[in-house]
Parts: sequence; structure tokens; C-alpha cells
Amino acid sequence: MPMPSRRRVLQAATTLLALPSLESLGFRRFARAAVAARPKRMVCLGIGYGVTEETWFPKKDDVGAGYTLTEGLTPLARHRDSFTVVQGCTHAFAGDPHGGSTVWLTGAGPTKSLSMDQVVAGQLGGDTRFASLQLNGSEPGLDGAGHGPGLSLAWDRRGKPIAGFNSPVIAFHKLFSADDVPLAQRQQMLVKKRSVLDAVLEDAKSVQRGLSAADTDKLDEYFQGVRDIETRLAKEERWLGTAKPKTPLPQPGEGLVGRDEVLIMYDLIVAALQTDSTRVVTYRQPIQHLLKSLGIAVAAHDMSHYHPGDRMAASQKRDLAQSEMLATLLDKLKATKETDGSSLFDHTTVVFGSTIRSIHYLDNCPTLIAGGGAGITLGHHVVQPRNTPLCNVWLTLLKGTGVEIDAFGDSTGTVKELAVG
Amino acid sequence: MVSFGRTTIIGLVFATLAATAAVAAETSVVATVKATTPPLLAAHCADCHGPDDAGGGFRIDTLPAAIDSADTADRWRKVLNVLNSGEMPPKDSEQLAPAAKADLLEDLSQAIVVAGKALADTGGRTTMRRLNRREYANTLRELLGVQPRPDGLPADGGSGTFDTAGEKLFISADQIEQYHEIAVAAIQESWRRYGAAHPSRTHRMEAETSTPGVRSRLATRLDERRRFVLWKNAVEAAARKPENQAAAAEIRKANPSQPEPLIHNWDKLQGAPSPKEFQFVDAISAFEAGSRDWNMRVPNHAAYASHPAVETGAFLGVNDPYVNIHMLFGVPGGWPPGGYVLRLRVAATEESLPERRFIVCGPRGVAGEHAECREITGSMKEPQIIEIPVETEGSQIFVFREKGSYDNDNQGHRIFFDAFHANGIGPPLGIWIDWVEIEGPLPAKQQAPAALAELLTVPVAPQPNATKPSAEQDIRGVLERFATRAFRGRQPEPAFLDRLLAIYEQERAAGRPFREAVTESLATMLSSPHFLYLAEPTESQKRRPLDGFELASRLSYFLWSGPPDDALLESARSGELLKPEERAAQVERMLDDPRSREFVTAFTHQWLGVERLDFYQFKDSVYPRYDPKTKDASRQEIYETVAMLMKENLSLRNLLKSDFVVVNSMMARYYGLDGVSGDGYRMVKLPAGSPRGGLLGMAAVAAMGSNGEQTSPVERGAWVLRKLLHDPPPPAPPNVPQITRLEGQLLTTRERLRMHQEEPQCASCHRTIDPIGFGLENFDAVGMWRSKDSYQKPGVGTKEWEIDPSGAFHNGPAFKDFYALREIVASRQTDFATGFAEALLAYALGRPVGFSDDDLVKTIVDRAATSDFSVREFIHAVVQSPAFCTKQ
Repeated sequence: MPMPSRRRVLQAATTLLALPSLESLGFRRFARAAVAARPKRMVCLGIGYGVTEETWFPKKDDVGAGYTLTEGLTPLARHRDSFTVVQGCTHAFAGDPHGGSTVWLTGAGPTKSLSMDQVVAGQLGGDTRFASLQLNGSEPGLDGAGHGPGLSLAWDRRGKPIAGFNSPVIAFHKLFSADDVPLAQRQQMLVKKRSVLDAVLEDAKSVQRGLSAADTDKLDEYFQGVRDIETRLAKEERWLGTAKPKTPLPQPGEGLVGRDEVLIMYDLIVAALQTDSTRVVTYRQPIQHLLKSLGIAVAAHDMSHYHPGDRMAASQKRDLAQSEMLATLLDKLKATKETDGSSLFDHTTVVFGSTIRSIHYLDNCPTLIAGGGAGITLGHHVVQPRNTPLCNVWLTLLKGTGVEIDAFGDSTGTVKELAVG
Repeated sequence: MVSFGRTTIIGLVFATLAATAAVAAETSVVATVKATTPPLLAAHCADCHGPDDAGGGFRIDTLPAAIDSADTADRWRKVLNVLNSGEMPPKDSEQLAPAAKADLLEDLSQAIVVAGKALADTGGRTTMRRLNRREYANTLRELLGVQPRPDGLPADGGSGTFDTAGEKLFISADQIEQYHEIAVAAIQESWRRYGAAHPSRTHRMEAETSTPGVRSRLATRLDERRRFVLWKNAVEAAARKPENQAAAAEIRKANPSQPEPLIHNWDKLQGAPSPKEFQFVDAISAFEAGSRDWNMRVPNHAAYASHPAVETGAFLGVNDPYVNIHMLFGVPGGWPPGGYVLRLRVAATEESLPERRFIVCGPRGVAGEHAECREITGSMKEPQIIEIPVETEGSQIFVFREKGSYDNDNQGHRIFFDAFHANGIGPPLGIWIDWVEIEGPLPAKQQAPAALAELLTVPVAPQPNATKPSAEQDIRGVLERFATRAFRGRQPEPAFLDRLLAIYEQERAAGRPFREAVTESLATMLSSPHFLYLAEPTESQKRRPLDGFELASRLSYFLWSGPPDDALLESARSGELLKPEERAAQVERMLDDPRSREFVTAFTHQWLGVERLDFYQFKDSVYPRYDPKTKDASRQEIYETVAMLMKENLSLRNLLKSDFVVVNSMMARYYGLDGVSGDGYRMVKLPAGSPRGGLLGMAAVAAMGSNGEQTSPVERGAWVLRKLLHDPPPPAPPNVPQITRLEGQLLTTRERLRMHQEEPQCASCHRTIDPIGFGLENFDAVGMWRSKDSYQKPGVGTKEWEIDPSGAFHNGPAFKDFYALREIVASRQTDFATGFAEALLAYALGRPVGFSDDDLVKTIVDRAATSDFSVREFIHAVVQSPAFCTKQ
């Protein structure tokens, strides 16, 4: 019996989804051009519960380049010309006072949307082994407490959470572990994987017959999954002859938690960018375990409801630790040189923040942006009118990164103060 | 300070359902705000938000009281948000009167919750759903006879709903690949377990083999002491020399509180020998080994080494790593995977404290919750043999320890030094082990699952020139029969079989042996939609009755969280299952089957929000008795109680108030009940006047309403409203200003929470929540009964007070104490039953229960009421309901 091609089935199965066009000539030409100009990168770091309002945010009337660095940002002093703090922005649709990450990168409202990092990955991910890399703090049993629903910071175009790697060891192996299987055997594996896809699609088609609209929607997730694997296999095939990059760092130990984990994940992020394994990384950071590793006994949720005393001290100590770790990330990005003598830092945008300001306030999201990737004004304190969509900042970053886009989420425009010149 | 529950928030609800809502509910009114609200708001707000001046583009006067669309609901939500955050009315404008504002906020938040629920109403539609991780693991176990650990499986999406909710069970590329990998690994393990007969074997370790090691470490300590004394004498002799007298005096003066100051400063004394000359690394380690440990550890160590019972066995020590803080037992390498039994001959000494007579046993390197905890009832005269069934592969190491002695660094330290300071030795030697052995793989556990039987007839190494085994000749038929089982009775499509066969042949052509080749095809089945999803196709999108196989799956995933068994499939095939009386009989059979524990535990856990118990670490120094294993036992009490109601078909009312508890010896002891021994949970009658009996008296429920250190009347009150009274408070609103006025003052819990009544934004919910929590204050953070409470603020002081458990429901009856509160709660059995019925329905149907289900819920509750709310009646009512038996 003739077997219809997998691609045709996919096209038939889901009209929403276009087939991968990564191999199209036009795309390749674009990608090459991008490489020639040093690729841009984006790193998004989500912290869940916000910051200590009193000691993290600069004073609202103290704007521009000469603003006074606050206590919570002190560890970043050596980078003060390399990052900008933005105040006043909010996600109008954020509603979870215990989840600072769910809609942080999407601003998801009534229309489900792709997260900012995935928009960038769509643009920059074609020429790297991994279109994007999702990292998570490993906090088993805590179920994303402080971050809210989601499997990482990233959401796909259907508004579904994208899973991430939950430990530095897993991420390390994915990025750098050499594949010692011979080429012929790997080609055979790809053939086998394709046969498996053909088979499960055959079954999916028979499930699809006579499904209700809602069920069809559900099964579309499966089709989308198969399609993603297909895209991956196509990519894998392209990368088949290319060995994984030599790792610039040793394999992380098992069981790193809290601060140790964040630091090693930061090293992995730098390594992933340095080896051009990917150009887009998100990292949903550990919360409770970070506190634990800092010797803080207060529970994360209790700390988030801080008031002067132990809880506020805990919150401030956490801020300092986060700023210190961020400073070391920036150090490393600056120290890592590109072939043309510029640094990784010059081409990378680092976004740090949450939808939770502090306590259970969802306005004035803490937002810190560093790096030269989006060409924004650095070294400034920018204050926007109250409840400016945070998506305005995201739009500014997207445009700065070279994405041709006029709106993102509920954006009403770009942030003029961030645009250089 | 304000504390909130963790429910889904309105914003998210709107965010996710606006699209559906636009279709579903543009036309009809779904909720109405109180008639008094619009005029009140108009009076205060219309000046700036009216026809003349729509400030911020927002007009209050055009906002209808009747909510009929997501858009209107969203506009009302904006009003609620600015009122909650205190943003509006502006500070310099006229404010609403506090009481009126609290009423308005209460009404508004309720209306928005109602609107949100109505707009999210699926109108009874169930979504096709994928198996969640529990169900997937159980399904693999039934098919392949191996159980993957659920935490290694792809995660289930949402929180805040049941893990059966189809809408939240996503799938992604990673997951599809993961399912395939897990299936391959599971099938390979099946081959190892069932592919060849494994003779059973036994390996025993005599515990006294550890004694020489303990004694040699004692000898080392004695030698260290001897060397230390020699060195110390030499240093002191040097200090007495005239040239060192000034320096020695100086050292003593500078270190008045340090024991042995001279040896720590030996290098300041001329002619004093280095500790290295006495084989110590430095002065500190010399001091620790020769002085500190000599004083504090050696008495206990020596007592152990000279105990006559260590000639024939070993004790489990506490805290001193040199004296058996645990016992390790290794399964010899190369043993086949399978079901084994671990046996220990153990005893508790007369001196050991009853609460310490528990042994914890689990595989090394695996989190503690997977370890078994067993009570020791054997004595030194008559030791007992404990048997623990385990699933293992060769080379595994098991660890045995005393309960509550190793969960954190402080625990063992505290137990050891409390005893040491009292008796100068250490805790009495408590648990004695004679030997440990493992036997297996047990023949009973080597019975291959039916699905694999046919495949196993093909020998691993084919005989040369032999005819092909029939299973290999008829591989298509074999695959078809396996798929029919995997698809829970449904025949696979021929085209799908073609593909599976193609994979098999591809593998054979590549030179792979039969089992390896067929593994790929089987794993492909186990990652295909018919296996992963509970699919119920509907022609032309109409409501239709389920067929037998669909019903069988709904039933088995409801009551077993696993696939239908042969009896159920047979009933489906014959059409019997479509008859209500057959369905009822199957429900009875299924509830009597041990597999129904899966349902009872998982459902109860989610229904009552038991995951909260793991949100906090319970402070060991304050609550030493509530160690992790006791916490596990208290959690188990909740499940065991519901299981008991299910087993005996008792009334649901027993969860509100009962004259019995369902406990094992550990929990009985915790509650001060005598005469219960052993690890099994059983029904124990309570003395009159006991605060136990029913959920409110359970330690785990009290602990869930705490932060591990202090009680939280807010969490407790909200839990009672949500779970017992079917009257959930609105979700925690964002942006409510935090109250800081009473910072730094020493206040009672009541005084602190009284602030909730001052601000209307808080009062609108907390006046309903907090009083219930106050009525539960006699239970401390770990569920022990107390009459006093205290609060300590470092640097400020400590306050102690007598607990006042009296209170009154908001607009409801007053109660003078916990007992009276419990009576009021118990009298609301119909509300409780309604919440239970809704939860059951949502769990069974895999979808949220909406207003369109109100009649159905009422039917279920009414039917259950006719049998005094006996729990099985609810299940029957759900299973016989049209919603359960039809696809919509």
C-alpha cells in the first residue's frame, strides 16, 4: 500500500502550521549574512518572586546616566555603564501574585502568544545546533513555586509551555557530550526515527477521524510535537557531519543546588553562546534552593511577604546574591572574545527580572537589561509612566535584535529612552 | 501582613478563556453585581469617569451590573483591581466608607469569580486527554510488568486542577521522544525480567560483621587519646620553663574561655613540640580527637563495643559516624532485576524509648520518602523478622537507620547530646539487628504479563536449521494482539500495523535479533496517540453514548488510574458493560481491588490539597516529634481514612466528625492513644471528648495550615471554606497594599490578624476566613493540642497568651471553642457532599465542573443522601450519570 509522505500528512493534519522552511535558500543566505556581522544573542533570566523594593530600585526621580546605584545593585557597580534599569512597566494581564515567570516573556493576554525569546529564536535559531536553550532551576517537589505555571520561561506560538533542562548536568551533556556513535549508525538511527514518526502519525490520523473541535485541538499538540521532532531531525541531519563543540568547561558535578547551580548554569550559558551552540537562552532560576544555599531559613513565599526583620533581611540578601551572580555572568561575557576582537557581551542582550515587583505587587516589574545585543542605551536608569506595557520594552529589544516586528503582546510602541541616538 | 492561598487567579482565567468565552457567552448574563454597587460607584467615581470626562479612557457609568461577556467582566475586574490597590479613588478625593467598601469588594470579587467560572464553563464538554504520569506508569506496569518511576516521566502541566484535567495535559516533541525512550527502556527491562527463568537465591549478612570495625575505630580513638596526652604534657612542660612563663601567662589571659589554650598556641612556646611529632595534622585535630571526642564520644563508643549483644548482631547508633549510624546491605552484583523480599531479624532493647522503636529502610541514594518505616515490636529475648518487598536489580545498596535520627544535621546531634548531658554516655542502644537477607527473584514475581507471553516464546538464540517459531512467522498477528491490548480493546488500523511491521523488518534487515527488533515496534505503539490518549471520537460533534471499550477505560482510569483488566474488557466486548447493573457490579469489584488505592490516594491528595504539607520544612528544634517519617504517617492517615470509608462504605460525614480515627501505631502514639501496635492502619475508637476524629482533628491537616513553625489561621480558615464548606473565598488579589503599621510590636496572633479588619480591601475576604482559623488555634503547627501560644521577636521579646478559640462565622453562628466549631462544620454535610461530588466529577471526567453541571451535582448528592452519604454511593452516582456515559 502506498504510504503518504509524512510531510503531506502534517500539512493535512494542521492547517495552522507551516512546514519548516529552514533549508530554503533565502533563509540560508540571510543566516550567513547574520554570521558575518557577528550573531546577536539573547539571554533571559527569570527570578520568580521579585526584589526588595526599598533597596533594589533606584529612586524614581533619579534618572539618566548619573543615577545613584542602590544597595541591591551594588555588586553590579563595576558594570554600571553596561546595564540599564527600567521602571514603571507592567504586564496588564499578569494576575498571579505567586507566579513571577508565567507571562513574564509573553505578556500573554486574551490572545496566546509566543514568548520573546522564541520570537528571537525564530530569527536567530536556524543556524545553530539548538534553536534555543531552556534552563530551569532544579527544585523537585516545589512545582515552580514563585514562578507560576509553565515548564520554563519559554512558550510556543500556541501558548503551550516549552520544557527545559532541569539540571546543569543534563544541559551540559546535551550541549557538549560527544556522540561517539559512528556516522553510518547515526544515519541509520535517523531513518529509524523517521519510521517511528511515520507510524505514530498513521495512528494519529486514525484517532483524528471524527474528533470534536476541542479534541482536534488537543491532538494538534501531538501533530505539532511530531512536526517539531521532524524539524529537529532535519536539523540533526544537517549537523550530522559536524562534531559537537569542544567543551570550554569541565562537566558540572551532580547535585549542585541554589547558588552553586546558578553559577554553573551561567558558565554553561556563556559556553553555549561561545561555541555558538545556540543564540537564545532562558533560565528560570531556583528560588527556595537559592535561599537555602545562602543560609536563609525563611521559606521563599514567606520571604516574599517581607517586612522589616528576618524576612526583609532574607529578601535583601537574596537580591545581593543575585546581583553578584549576575555581575560574574557579565564579567564572563565581557571576557569572552569573538574572532573579531569584540566580546560576547557586545552582541548579547541579558534580560533579568520578573512580573512580581516585590511582595505580591504586579506593577513596576523589576527589569534590568545588560549587553550590546539590542543596541539599547546602557548605564541609564529609565523611568516610564506608570503601567507602561512591559511589552514596550520587549518590542524595543526585539527590534534592536533585528526582528522585523511592529508590535509584541500588548505593546503600544517602543521605549524611546532605550534607543541609542 | 497578608497571606493568601494559591488558587488560579482571575487574570489568568480570563487570559486563557477569553477566546472560548467570546463564542460561548456573549449573549447571556453570567453574573450580576449587587444593585447598590453601580450607584455607589457612580456617586464616587463618575465625576472623573463619566460622560463628561472619561479619565484614563474608562467610564464607570456605562458599566452594566449584568455581566454578559468577558469584556464586561474584564472591565469590572479593572474596577476591583484599582479599588484593591487603593489607586482609586485618588487619595485627595472622597473615600468610600470602610464597611460599604468591604461589602462592595466582597460582592464584586464574588461576581467576578462567578463570571469567570461561567465563562469557562465547557457546557459539559470533555476534552480528549492524554494519560497523566501516574496513569502512564500504571499502564506500562500492567502491560509490561515493570514500573517506571513516575518522577522520571514527562511532567503534567497545570497545578490547581486535578491531574486528570485533559485541558492541562499537554504534549510536546520532547515528551513524545521521552515516551519512546521510556518505553524502550521498560521493554528491555521486561526482557531481562521475564525473558529467562531466574532461580531464586538468598544472600544473608550477619550484622556482627560490623563489630570488628567499630572496635578498631575505638582502638584508634584510645590511641589518639594516648598521643594527645603525651603531646599535651610535653607542651605544658615547655610552658613551665622560665623562658616561657611570660608567654604562657599571656596566652592564658588572652583566651580565658578556651579549654587547653596552651596547646592551641604551642608555637608561641619555645621548645614545645609540634603536634605533627605525635602524628596529628595540627593542633585543632589533635584537640578534637584527643580531648573533645575522648570526653563526648568515647563513653558511648566503649559502651557499644563492650555490649554482649554485638557478638551476635549490631545496634544502630545515633550521630557518631564511628558507631554504626546506619547499616548498609548490598545486593550482590549481577543479580537479575525482579521482585525480591528483604528480611531482617531485629529487636528493640528494653531501654529504648517507644517513639524510637522504628527502623527506616530504603535504597541508598534515593530520596527519603521512598524508604519504608517499620515499627519494631520484637524484644531482645524474642526478636522478630521483618519482611519488606522490594523491586531491585543487582548491585543495589540498602540503608537501615533509626527513624528521626538522620533527616538533618541537627536531629541526631540533638538526640545524642540530650542523652549525653543527662547520663554522660549517650542515647541507650535501641535497635538491634541480628541479620539482614535478601531473597529472590520471587517466583510469583516472575510471572510474565499476558501481553508478553506470545513474544517470549521466541528463543533468544535461534537454533540453526530450526523452523521459525510461530510467533515470528505470524509477527503481524503478534503485533496486532499486543496493540489491541495496549489500545485497551481497540483494534489497530491495518495501515498502522503496516508501519509497525516495516519498522520490525527494517531492524531485522539491519541484523538485529528478534527481541531487539520487536522492541522498536512495541515502543512505537506505546508512544502513539491511541495509547497515550483516551480518545472518544464523536461523529458530527454530537453527544453520543460511549461504547463498551470507552466506558471500560473511563472506569478503569477513574477507579484504578490504570488500564482495564481482562474482566472489564470482556464485559466491554460482550456489551454487558453498557447495562447499568453490570456497571454497578464492576464498580463494586473495582473498588474492592487493591488497584483502587491509586484512585483513593491520588484523588484525596488533590481534592484536599495535601501537597501543601510539603511546602515547608517543619522546624526540627521546635517540633522534634514531627520528623519526616511521622509527617509521612500523618499524611497517610488522611488517605487511609478515606480508604477505610471506601472499603467499609461508610458515610462521608465521618470526615467532618467521627468517633474513630484510622491510625497505625506511630500515629496512635502521636495522638496519645494506647493499645495500637504495628504498621498497618486500622480503625481505633476514640475516647469521649477527643478533638480527633474527622479531618479537622488530623495532624496533617493542622500542619498544612502552618508554615512549619507557626499556625496560619488564614490558611486554615480558607481551607475549611474551600474544602469542607464548599464556599471558597475569591482568589488572592494582587497589589493590595501590605499593612506595616504594627511592625516590630509583640502581638498575639489575633491581634496581628485584627489588622485585616481595618482595611476594607482585606476585610472583604478575611472577615469570612480568619474567624474559622481562630477556632482551630488549639492545634499547633504540627497538630498537637495546646492551650497556650507564644510569639517571639528577636530583639523585642516574647509574649505568651492563653488561646481564645471562640469566634463567629461572618453573618453566621458563633462558636465558643473548637468543639462547637466542629459541630457547625459537621452540620453542613450537604455543602461538604456537594464539594466532594464536584471534585469526584471533575476527577472522573477530566474537566472542570461548571454551572451547567449544577443539576448533575445535585442529582449525585441527592442520591448519596438517601444512603446517609455513604461514599460508594457517590461513585455509583457518578458512574451512572449521563455525563460519565456519554461523549460530548
